[in-house]
Amino acid sequence: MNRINGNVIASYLYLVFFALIILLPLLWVVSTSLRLPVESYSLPPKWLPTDFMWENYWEVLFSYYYERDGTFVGSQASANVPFPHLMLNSFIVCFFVTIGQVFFCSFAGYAFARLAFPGKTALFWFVMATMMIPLQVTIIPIYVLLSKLGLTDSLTGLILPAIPSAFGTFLMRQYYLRIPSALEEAMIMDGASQWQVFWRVFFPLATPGMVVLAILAFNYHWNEFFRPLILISTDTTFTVPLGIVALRDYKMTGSISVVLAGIVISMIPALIIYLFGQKHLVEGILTGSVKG
Amino acid sequence: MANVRLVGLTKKFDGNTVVDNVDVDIEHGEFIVLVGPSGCGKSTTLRMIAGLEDMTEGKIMISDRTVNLIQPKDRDVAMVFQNYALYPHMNVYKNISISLSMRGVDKTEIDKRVKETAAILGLENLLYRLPKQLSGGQRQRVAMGRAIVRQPAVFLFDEPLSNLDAKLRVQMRTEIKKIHQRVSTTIIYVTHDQTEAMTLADRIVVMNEGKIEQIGAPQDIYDHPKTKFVASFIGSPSMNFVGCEVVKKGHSYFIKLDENVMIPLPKQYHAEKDALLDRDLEFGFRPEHVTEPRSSVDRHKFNVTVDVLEPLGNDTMVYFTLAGRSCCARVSPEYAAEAGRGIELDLDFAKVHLLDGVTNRIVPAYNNA
Repeated sequence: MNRINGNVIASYLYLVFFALIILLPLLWVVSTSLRLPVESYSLPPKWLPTDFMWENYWEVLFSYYYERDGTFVGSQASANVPFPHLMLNSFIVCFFVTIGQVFFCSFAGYAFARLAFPGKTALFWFVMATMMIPLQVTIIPIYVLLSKLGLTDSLTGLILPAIPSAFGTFLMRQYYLRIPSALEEAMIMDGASQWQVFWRVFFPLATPGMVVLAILAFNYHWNEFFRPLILISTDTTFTVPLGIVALRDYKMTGSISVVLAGIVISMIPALIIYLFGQKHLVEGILTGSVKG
Repeated sequence: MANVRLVGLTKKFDGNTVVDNVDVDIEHGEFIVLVGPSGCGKSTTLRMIAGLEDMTEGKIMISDRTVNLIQPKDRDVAMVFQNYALYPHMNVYKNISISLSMRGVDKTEIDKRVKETAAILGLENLLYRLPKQLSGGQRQRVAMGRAIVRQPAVFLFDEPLSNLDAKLRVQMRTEIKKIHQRVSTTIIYVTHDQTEAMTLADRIVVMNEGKIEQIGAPQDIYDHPKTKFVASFIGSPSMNFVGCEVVKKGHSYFIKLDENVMIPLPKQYHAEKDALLDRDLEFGFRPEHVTEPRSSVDRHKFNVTVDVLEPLGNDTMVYFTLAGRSCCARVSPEYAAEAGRGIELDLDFAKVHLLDGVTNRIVPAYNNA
């Protein structure tokens, strides 16, 4: 019994240690976002702010539109960052990329998992190989292409190239593979066409896989920095990660507290989506890794 | 109802022949069971009839129509799968009705047929449950309901009871037989369980290594197996085999099992007795034909030493060694026997078989009545 207790205590200590490694920086971010900038670098460091500076959040969210006295200034204050607008931009990009990826990867994954067509294996590995090519290699051709289409510096230019996803195709394929083939055969015996097999059985049964893909795609593109950095140049078309960088120069003060307040705000949507989809996410990742 | 003809049906996977030139004629309304060990080609044969597997050679005819190139949905056959294959996101009603809705059957007609089917299978109260809320037996009934509701010409059952526990299996076996009596549709049923085959079939097709070993009524196959494989596969415990030779002493013929055990040649082999001399033979007998001593003319008594006893309640299985081979006898539980002790047993001559050791075929017996 003592030995079991010892093991349990050791396990908890181990977990608490790693939890602290992950959580302490987050705590520091939240704590600093509520300080006066001058307190941020004080020694010894203080874990909790002395005054809760909610103004930092006000600065992030509203300073582009209003003076501190409440006067509406619209977009006059060009040195400020229209953070709510950038969140809307990010949301639009993530929404359409997520919908697009789930839609197309569901089809592509089904084709690779269940249909027989010439060159299937070669095509599948070709698609998989695209995951090995770093974005830095393809970004220039993508930029040139979008430029010729007149889509640079636009949200459409961010959305369209992100819709085809090799990872999403792979994830959905793995999910379809674990659905017993007897269901497909039963549908065929029941008189279903290939489309009906997909639409009435495989598509609904792959919903957890789609949830996983949606969460991963949303989070990835919510946090994506490199592509928007290259493709977007106008500050009103910025996405949240670019906006956070821009916050550094807020009124030329470079207030760390305001930047971190921006980071805390930017974490909220991803956190909400993760909390709602957590069960599917963990289950789905295990599903994809081991063929059941 | 429909007849089914398999003509020279052959299936090869990567050069390996898994179904080899299978010919079977199945009558209208007949209950045929394909039985054999794992990998004998019985499920592949069934899947070829369903259209889920392409054939390499041969012809399949359903209702006198060649269906080789016809899609599974247009063959008018319904299949019950080993693992039920129920659609997990649909309730029982939808699982049963989906085949009709995909064929564009009118909603009122669908409702009527689903309710009739549910009544046959006792599923009326479960129609709006999901498969995960059902027991194994109920799921199996839903799988059968999905087949029945279509009113197909032929039912195909692919080991439908193998996922159920022993008690439920017996219960469902009876249900299937009742359903067959009620709907009188042709059924082709695949199993590796010889008891299931014996109890359900009008005729059994015994398969081994892709080939048909024997086709016949269950009792006929049990009493008159044609090959060693059939003799040992059908019946539990399986038939005992002991190497032997037929010898002549004076005017009498004997089966010589070893130097100490000689049994008079049974009557049914007398017509061919000279042809049996000097042949490599095996002597086969079923456990239930070796019993405690009983008074009958056609019986032979012999003494053995008991190796192991297995009391089953209604009978006791006695394992003993005869001519170097382990054999089994089925005796009355009242018959006093003890492991390690000598015992007198009694062999029913009329039921023994001789097997050609070279061809592994049973030597035909005559005046076997």
